[in-house]
Amino acid sequence: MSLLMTMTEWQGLTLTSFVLLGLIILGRTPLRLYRSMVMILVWMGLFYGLSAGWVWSEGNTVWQGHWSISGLIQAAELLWRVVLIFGMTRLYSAVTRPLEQGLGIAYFFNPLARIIPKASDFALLLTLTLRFIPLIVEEALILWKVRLLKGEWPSSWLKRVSEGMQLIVPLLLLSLKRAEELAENLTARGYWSGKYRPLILQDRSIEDYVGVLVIVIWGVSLLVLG
Amino acid sequence: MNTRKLAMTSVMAALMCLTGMMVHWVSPALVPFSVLPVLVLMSGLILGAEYAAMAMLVYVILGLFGLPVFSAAPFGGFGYILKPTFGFLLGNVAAAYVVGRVYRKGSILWAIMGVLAGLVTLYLFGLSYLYFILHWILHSQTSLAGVVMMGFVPFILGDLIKAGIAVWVGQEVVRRRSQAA
Repeated sequence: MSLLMTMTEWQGLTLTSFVLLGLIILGRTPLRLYRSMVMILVWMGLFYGLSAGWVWSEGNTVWQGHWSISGLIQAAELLWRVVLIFGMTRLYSAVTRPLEQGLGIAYFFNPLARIIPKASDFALLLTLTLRFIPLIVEEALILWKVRLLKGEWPSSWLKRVSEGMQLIVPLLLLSLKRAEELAENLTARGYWSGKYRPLILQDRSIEDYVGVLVIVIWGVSLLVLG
Repeated sequence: MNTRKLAMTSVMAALMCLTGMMVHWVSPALVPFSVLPVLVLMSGLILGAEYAAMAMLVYVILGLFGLPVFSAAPFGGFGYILKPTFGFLLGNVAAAYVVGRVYRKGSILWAIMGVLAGLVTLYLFGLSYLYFILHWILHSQTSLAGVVMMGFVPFILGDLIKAGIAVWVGQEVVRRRSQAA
């Protein structure tokens, strides 16, 4: 949808704005989730506005330029697209758990893995990465508790950097050791390169089909309007 | 592919994801600056060229698919492609590869050369993309000097310090792992 939105004009953007609004209401996500986007959008608006709206003719300097209405409209349209894409991403990550997102990504690699063995390794990499995140957090919390026994976190910037680096080395060593243990387990259980198949749950509810239908209609409408 | 290296690659990718998340979740009083460039350069030293690049690729793909792992709003999703700074994310993949390619195991001199070559690659990708977005997408009158002033001058000193930290930590990890083996 994001890629389609880069091609569509104001009609497609209006349609997408209404669909996104509908999805936010249906998803019952609190509005404070979108608050973090406001500041970054203000900065991006200023950036796009300045870079597309402020023009100067050949041979003149930057400060001899003037505002261009067509440039400002172009910047506003670009910002509108960015707002919609940011909003859709925020909504998606608010209603989908990271593990489900990981399984979804691996699902898309599955057909590819049947043709190219390297793709199955890549799917394994994605799955392992998502599994390692909570494990590394666990290790980091243990190291942090040990560090707290030494005393308070320093207020000086330099000391903080030095302390942080002293925590990173053992964290890296512990995590890499865990990775080696996992690799030994995988090999012991008969895994070899190109063999990985992600676990795909085939349970689909009526909501899934309705969702797919909505997305297809939405995508086709964007293509027609674009 | 080597299973052991694959698992280690996932660890580095997971660390990248966690660090990206930390930048917007943890208080700046606790984490004084983003350690993402440190991890990018360091992964080249620890994993070698191909696997380090793959770890960065996993990080970028997870982020593009919508996982909130990037350090600035909206923290993930295809929208990032439109951001003028997306080139630096692509540059991470290339920089990790270059560091791994240049580095000779155990040598501090080659580690320094490697991270410096990595930084050059990172900026080449980042600044080229910035110029591409400004010039070809926004049709703005952008000069190369303007792009350098925007995307290079304010950050290079910090990145050189981070490169130093990457050499220090990377060498330490490589040394201790060699001793343990």
